[in-house]
Amino acid sequence: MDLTEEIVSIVRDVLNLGDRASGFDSSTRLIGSIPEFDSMAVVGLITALEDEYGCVFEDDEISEEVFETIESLTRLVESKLS
Amino acid sequence: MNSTYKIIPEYIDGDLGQLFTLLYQPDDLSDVTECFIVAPSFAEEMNRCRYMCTMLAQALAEQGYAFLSVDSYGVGDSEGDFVDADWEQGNKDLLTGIAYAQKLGFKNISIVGVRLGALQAMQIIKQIDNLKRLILWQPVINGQSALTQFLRIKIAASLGRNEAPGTIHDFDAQVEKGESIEVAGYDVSPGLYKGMKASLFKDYIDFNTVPVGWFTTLTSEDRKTPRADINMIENWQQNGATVDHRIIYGPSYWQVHERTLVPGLVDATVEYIMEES
Repeated sequence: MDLTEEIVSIVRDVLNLGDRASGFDSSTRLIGSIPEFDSMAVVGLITALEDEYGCVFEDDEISEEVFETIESLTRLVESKLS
Repeated sequence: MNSTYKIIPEYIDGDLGQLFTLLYQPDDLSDVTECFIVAPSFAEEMNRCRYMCTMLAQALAEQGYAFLSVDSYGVGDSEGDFVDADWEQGNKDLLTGIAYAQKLGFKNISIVGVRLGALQAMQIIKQIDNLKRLILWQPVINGQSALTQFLRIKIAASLGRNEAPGTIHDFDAQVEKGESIEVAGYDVSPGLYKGMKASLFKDYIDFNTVPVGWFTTLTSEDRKTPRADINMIENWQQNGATVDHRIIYGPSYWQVHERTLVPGLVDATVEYIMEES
């Protein structure tokens, strides 16, 4: 699984989207486009990513730009892994 | 067994005001009937977990167990506003609820700690007489991390709005001035904020006298139990505790939208309790 697929699987699991996430790819829009994507979901997603990749999100990384698409989120995680 | 039971609401006296309690009482009550008392999570997590707790209460009552929930001061249907809720007071009110169960005649008391409630339960566990066992659902092991997650809801809620999100550093400063912080409609008092922040599960794992059922719900087989939880369980076992760790697959019932249920967790918990009884 590449990182994009991993992020899709984490988004699917945290938001409990099931099969609805099967067509997700890097261009899939998140915040404002998926009804389940409320503030608790954002926090759940950050926590899951921190647990999974052993990284820490800073306060200013909780931004609309980061949670815009799968790609923008993947890019942030990637920057933490390098 | 498929016992019949009654649901009995009652207000009891706490130190600060009347506390709302709800007792699931099996009709075939005896001297040995075990009473499970829930230590819930708080704020929005408590709401999102509420129906899971109701399902567990029903499933246990059907098996002849009693189940008691107590809303602490400022929470749920008890007296006080949420801004009056305080970490230490929550611990005291949990003990008040336990004393009430004992007064009703229950000689075997067990605790079901959910998320932050698990951490609260650990802090008072040595003060409970006749404790039979401890059930933990997705326990929070680090109060400060849980507080950070909670405060991030406030930051996340500001996304898409023209308002300054603030930082956790700002919130700390606000609390130091004695002010409460509003997060997702909950006004969090400095007492609740600081109490949560200072609480660490590891400070209480010298307790080893009753069996522990530790239940981790994972969303899919791609996910793993967090390393920190595994380490905690191992350290606790090294201290002589009997900790049975069980994994259930289902949605994150404490954080996703309401009415997301994990019936498998209720079944697994009842099964564990019946095995050990």
